[in-house]
Amino acid sequence: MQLKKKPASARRDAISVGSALAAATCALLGQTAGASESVEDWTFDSAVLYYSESDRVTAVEPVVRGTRTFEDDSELSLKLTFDSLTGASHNGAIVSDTGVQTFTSPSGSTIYRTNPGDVPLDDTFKDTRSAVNGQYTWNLSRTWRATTGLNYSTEYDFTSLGANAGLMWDLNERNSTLTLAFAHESDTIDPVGGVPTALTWQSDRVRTGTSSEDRSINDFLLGWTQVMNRRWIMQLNYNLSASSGYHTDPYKVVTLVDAAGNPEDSSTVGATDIGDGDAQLMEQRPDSRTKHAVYWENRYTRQNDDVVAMSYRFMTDDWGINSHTVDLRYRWKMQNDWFLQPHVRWYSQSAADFWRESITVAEANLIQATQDDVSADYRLGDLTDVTVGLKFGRELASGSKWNARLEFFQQSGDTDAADVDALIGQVGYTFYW
Amino acid sequence: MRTAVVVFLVLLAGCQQAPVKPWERDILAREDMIPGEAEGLDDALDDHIYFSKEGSSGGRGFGGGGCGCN
Amino acid sequence: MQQQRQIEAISQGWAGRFSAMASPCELLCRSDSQDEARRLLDLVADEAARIETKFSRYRDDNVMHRINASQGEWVAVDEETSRLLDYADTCFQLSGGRFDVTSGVLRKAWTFDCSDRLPDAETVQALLADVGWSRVERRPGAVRLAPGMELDFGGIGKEYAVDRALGLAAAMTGADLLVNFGGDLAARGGQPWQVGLESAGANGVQGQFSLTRGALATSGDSRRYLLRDGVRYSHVLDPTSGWPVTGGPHSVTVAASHCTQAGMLATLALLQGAGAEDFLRQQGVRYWCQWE
Repeated sequence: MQLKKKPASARRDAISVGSALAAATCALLGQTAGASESVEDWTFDSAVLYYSESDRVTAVEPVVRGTRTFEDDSELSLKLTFDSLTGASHNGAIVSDTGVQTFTSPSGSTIYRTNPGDVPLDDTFKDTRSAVNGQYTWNLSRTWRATTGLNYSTEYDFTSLGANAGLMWDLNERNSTLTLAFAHESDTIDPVGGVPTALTWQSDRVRTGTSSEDRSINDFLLGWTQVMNRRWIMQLNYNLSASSGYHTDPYKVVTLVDAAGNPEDSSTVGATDIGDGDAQLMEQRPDSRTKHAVYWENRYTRQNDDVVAMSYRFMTDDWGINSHTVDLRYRWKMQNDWFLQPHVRWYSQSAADFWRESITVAEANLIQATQDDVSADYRLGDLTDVTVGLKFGRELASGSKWNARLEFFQQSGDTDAADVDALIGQVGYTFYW
Repeated sequence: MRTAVVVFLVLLAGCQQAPVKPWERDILAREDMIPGEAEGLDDALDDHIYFSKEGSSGGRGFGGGGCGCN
Repeated sequence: MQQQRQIEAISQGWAGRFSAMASPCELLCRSDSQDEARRLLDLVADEAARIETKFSRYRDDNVMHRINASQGEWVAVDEETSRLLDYADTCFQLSGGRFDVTSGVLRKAWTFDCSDRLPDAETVQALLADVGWSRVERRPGAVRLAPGMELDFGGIGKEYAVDRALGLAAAMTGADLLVNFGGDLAARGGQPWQVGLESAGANGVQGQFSLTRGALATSGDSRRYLLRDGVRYSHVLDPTSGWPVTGGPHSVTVAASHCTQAGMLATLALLQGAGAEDFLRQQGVRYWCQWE
């Protein structure tokens, strides 16, 4: 073509003046070429997460989400998640320095032993989860938007069905947005080997006879997003979550110990003898839980276009857990549309009122008599977690983007079972179709 | 409650600024400045990891999201 | 410096009118609310005024003046100006140097008053020494022109303002919109807008065009030319020679997704002279050429 006497680059040679101009116009108007082309097209976000704890669980989780914006600015988003878990999970029992402990697997088919000094792990832990989410958001008027969605998730011992609806109101020349949303979730728990009767001895394998248990959760969210200035946006959310039904973990036990802290044998409580240190009580949690969370996020762009993101969450519930979460990210913009993003997360929680590392025979008898709650799940105990990671990525000329992250997650608490080290790796790719 | 007080004061200070006009939204329109979109799928994946490893959930959006892991 | 802004009811909504960039400007809006139409008109007119103020060559208090009076020094420019310079650079490259935002100095020699007064070749040659985008130095956030050189966004500014104004208004409303700055226009609608294409020279309407979303821009002007020895010299100057393009259409109108893009395609077509229509056909865009 005669116009191209001096093509700026080989790439320009290959495309017409018209499409080069279209791309340049989008750049001029501050729209990315991809974004403008994505109107009425699908945008796909995809990622594969790899999560691996040393000696315990390994998970591989691919996700794909397609988002389509229609001509009336409404948006449909569909997400598919698969989650494959293998490895072993802490069964709640203490880490004993002195005694062997003996357990039955959830199915009752095998008996396994944990040696002194080892974390009692149930290695029959294996699961595949599939989840699908759909969300539709549309304009009600110039300043009001509505959103509604459905979620379905299934794994071999758990099924969840949820629906949500929300309203968003733009105020103050769209510098403020208020969000009000509700969600309802119905869960069905169908434990392997049947539903254990809470507060019975694990070695007796007492089952309630019901095949499954239910739990329902109602969530309420009030959000305020505020543009503070040209470079700073913040979001403040209040989230109330009230659940009722079966909250107990059907696979977790609480170890009975003697005065010296050594695991007791079931003979001391008159239960079935399956081996040494087999006095293990099936845990029980309350049949309701009310959580309040306040979440505050800030995003700030520096003069050099780097982004600082900070969030803080406070959560408190009627189980006695209070937690603080601080999350910091710094997105460092490099040349050629690369970015590098260090990330630090710190989390700290206090123990639930009914959390016990272990109990004595006398305590167990009292708990059984009063049908009190008790759990030794380390996730309900005092816990401090630190995550440190690095994410990097790049936007390509086509408008597609890829990124990768590598993070180290470390948990520690009052018990040895709470010491978990995990590696988080993820690659992601966003493209237009 | 000290945190809440600090938050409140910062918000008050912020509210006194002139609203940002539509033509000044170039920075705020960037994906990395939009809460909930900046990290793409990471938020949901992280929520899932931490939901299954910790005693807390929610806040950013709705907690948990159909998982039998806790 | 609030211009006169008028709003009136039309059959499908509201029409707001004002004047900017030496052109009559209008905003059409299919909204039930006059208040909303008024707000949108203010938004659009403010944006037009902002861009005119910022980039006009005829002011001494803006970034263009700082650049053009810089006497060979580096001048810091903001992000928006940088984007316009990037765009100008792309257009320069794509046109093989025929679209050049430094070519405005040639107007010192050329006055298109429909007379037969052509400048002499030496004058034009001397001015060409001050033309040449490839000699403009850039670095992030700054630009440097050699002494004597000048920048002129005249070939981009109005179309850019149309796109900006429509974008801002569209973000504030779900209503159908049409922004028209002196014949360069962009629209967003659920229902199409009927746009009449006026014949540039003679009377009558050249055509009717139904525009739902996208833009139209026109380059060329039948009232600005020189005529000598039977040759019509258009006001479109080729910066590679310093002389007007001859043998091309009087005006070119192009439809594209954005006004800025449509305007540039029209300008690039005019620069092709007799090859204007071939060029437009190759781009695969809808266009209208006015030859007489």
